[in-house]
Amino acid sequence: MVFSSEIFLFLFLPFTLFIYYGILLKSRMLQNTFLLIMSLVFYAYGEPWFVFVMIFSILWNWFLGLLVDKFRTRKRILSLLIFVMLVTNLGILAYFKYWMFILGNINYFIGSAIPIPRIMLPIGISFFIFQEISYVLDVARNKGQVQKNPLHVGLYIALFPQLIAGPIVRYETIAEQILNRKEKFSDFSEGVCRFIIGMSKKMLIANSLAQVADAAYQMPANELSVAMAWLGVLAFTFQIYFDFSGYSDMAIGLGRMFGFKFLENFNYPYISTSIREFWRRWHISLGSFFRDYVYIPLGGNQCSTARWTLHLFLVWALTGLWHGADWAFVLWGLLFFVFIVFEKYVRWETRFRSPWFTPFKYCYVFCILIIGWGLFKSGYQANLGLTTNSLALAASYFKTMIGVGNPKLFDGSAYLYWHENQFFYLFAVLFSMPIVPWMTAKCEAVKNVTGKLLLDITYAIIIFMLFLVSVSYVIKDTYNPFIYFNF
Amino acid sequence: MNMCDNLKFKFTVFLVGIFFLYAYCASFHNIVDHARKIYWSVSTYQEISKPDLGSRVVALVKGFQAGFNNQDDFLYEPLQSVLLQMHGNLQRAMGKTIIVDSEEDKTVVKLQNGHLSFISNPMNFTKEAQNFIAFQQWLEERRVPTLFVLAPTKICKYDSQLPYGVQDAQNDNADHVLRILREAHIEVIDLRELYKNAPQKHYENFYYTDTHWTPRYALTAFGIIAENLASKGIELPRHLAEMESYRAVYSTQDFDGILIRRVKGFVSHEKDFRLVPEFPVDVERKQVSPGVVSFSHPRKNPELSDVRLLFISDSFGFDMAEFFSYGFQNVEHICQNRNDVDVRRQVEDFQPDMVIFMVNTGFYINHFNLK
Repeated sequence: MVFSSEIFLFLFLPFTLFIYYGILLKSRMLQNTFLLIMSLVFYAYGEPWFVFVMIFSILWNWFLGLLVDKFRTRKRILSLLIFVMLVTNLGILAYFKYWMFILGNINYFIGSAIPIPRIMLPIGISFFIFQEISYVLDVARNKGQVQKNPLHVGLYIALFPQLIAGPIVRYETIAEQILNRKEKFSDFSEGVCRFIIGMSKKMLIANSLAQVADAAYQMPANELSVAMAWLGVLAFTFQIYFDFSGYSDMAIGLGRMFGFKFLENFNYPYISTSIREFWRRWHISLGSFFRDYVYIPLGGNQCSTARWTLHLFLVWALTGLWHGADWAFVLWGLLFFVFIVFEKYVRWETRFRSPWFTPFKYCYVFCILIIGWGLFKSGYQANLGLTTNSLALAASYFKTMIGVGNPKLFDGSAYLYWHENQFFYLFAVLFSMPIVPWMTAKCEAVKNVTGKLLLDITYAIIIFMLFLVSVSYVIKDTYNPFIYFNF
Repeated sequence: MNMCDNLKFKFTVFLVGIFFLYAYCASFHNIVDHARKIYWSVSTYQEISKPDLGSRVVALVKGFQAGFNNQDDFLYEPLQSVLLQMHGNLQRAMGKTIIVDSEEDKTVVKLQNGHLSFISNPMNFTKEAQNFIAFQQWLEERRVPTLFVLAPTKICKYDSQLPYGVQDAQNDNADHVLRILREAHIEVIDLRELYKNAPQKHYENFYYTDTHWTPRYALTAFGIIAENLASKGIELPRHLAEMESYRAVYSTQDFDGILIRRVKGFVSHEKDFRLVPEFPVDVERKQVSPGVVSFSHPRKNPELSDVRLLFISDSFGFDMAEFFSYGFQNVEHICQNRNDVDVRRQVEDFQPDMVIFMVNTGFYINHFNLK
């Protein structure tokens, strides 16, 4: 089930809220149990069998969590338990997500003919496996208390707002909230607004631009014009941001509605002036997960330069692989590795501080991002089964972008897709910048009571209109791609 | 944080709350209304003048079941309609020419002349064409002649009117199918040729907001088919294909064509109409089974053809079937609109002397159970 669907908006969510607040308000235990049941229903709606994989892995990690808590002081047993936890969790992930990729590569590189089974990927597996790892590691590191009740572990891992598309909620973030959260109407209402904003980002901007990106990447190479190639990659650049950040907004908003406070996952990444800054603003929960559970345990930067470079290389290769089982994703990750090392060596963030450099820095980041998203989209097409060779697709696409091979500069498709989506490009550029926080700050500075009231009413009307328009897109059943099944 | 700090969020929740309240009340009212009707029809059907409590409960449960089943979507239909209208208006305000749908073949394009149309990607219908050839050979073994008629779809082969950059492959797909059929020596009437030299007439005879041709286009097409039948010795009264023999009766309500239902607000409504014969008609219409309708004349009319005609078509054949019914003593119409009719079995039951098979370029043979 996706958030931007009729069944979720008009049946699942209102029913869950009604029971949660209307009937179970007095009992936290019943509320948590009910939320867990509804989260499993939410997952099972799209993945009726894989829900058992999730239940099994929840129980297994709950059990490991108990053992880890018990043997916390006995280092060798603790290390063994963590090793077992990593092997089993990553083993599940490897089987479902990477087994076909591994076998395909073995066949390719050594010329064997090992049959490759078709393995369906459980939606959101990368998210819930990472949260399970987070649970056991946080218990081991004493950053969150062990849960004796498996329902609580289940709730943390399967909680439907963040189940299929993140953010990756660290156990230490919500360990306390599972039993001791406070639902307030102010939080609820803020959550509703956040959800509507997220839904608008997804339905209005991301889905519209997805049409352009998909059309460009599905065109035969000899029919793709330079203009269409640029429109396509720019569309994907904005699509993935508004889609992903829209989902994160919806997740954070839904969490708020039930009294949970998740950490922010995006912070206007496209205004970054360096790649390092970009990753401090983009998918923050993933970046911090890799930093805290991979990079720092490996030794971080407290080592030789060569060793530090190796740590970064591993982290970024894994970051790429986490996004999908394809070499294009690995290359995408390593692209960031190269530029982060480059920035470190030239001291990018400290050396070029003059405001005169700022436009140049924006261009530098945006160019790298465009190359990165071009690669990423090729990998995504491969995962969809729309191409067998993502790297060849990326190469041919990039060639067209720079005019190699005499492609047409402009064609009817480019005209059509620009004409149809020009407003969405404009909105995408505008709302990639922190215009809303800037305007909010201006509004909050108004001290006049009447003026403030008028601004509040205006805000409510705008958000309500956004809600209506987004719902009209849901009702119309417009193009609504789901891009998280890889993750 | 005091009350006023979050006033804007609370205002929003208030508005969204009213929306949901209205949506649920309206939907509930709709279900209850439907349930009430079913309740009374069940009670009446059971001829219970004073139903006991058990019967009342059973009838009420059945009523609610039917009421819920009647709710295709979660939103009350008029509310859905308003939202769709809003969606269409927004698209129009943005100057869009395409409304992309989640189902690829339901994407709607506004043609340069204002007509709405679906578009299609290139598809290979070789297998479907071969299925039809096998069906035709099966009929030939039973000495039943077959005529394949291709009805035009909205996008004219000779003047597509597509906006710059939009591509549609319906006519190319159809050309491919016709080539295969002709190579197999199947007789084909390609009605796209009818307005080859006057494409504007092609568009004039289509509904703006629907994929279908109007009864006027169907009547002209009927004339072409009647000429072909005459060349085979099957004579139909001449006046049947003349426009003067009919008068147009317009619907009083706006016509919700297939296309406008998907993109409300994108274009204005129009009126539906039907052609009513001015000559005396004595046809009995009977539903044989889902998707199969028979037309017969209870009294023998020497002007009409005695040939037993089996007419198989998609939804373009509704008007055409009526015209055939005026000229043949016995006609059976299989309309594969939403039904899965076993066509061969129907042939064996009806024992036709002639089979006319008609599809439009956008609706293909693969929708028919010809095996």
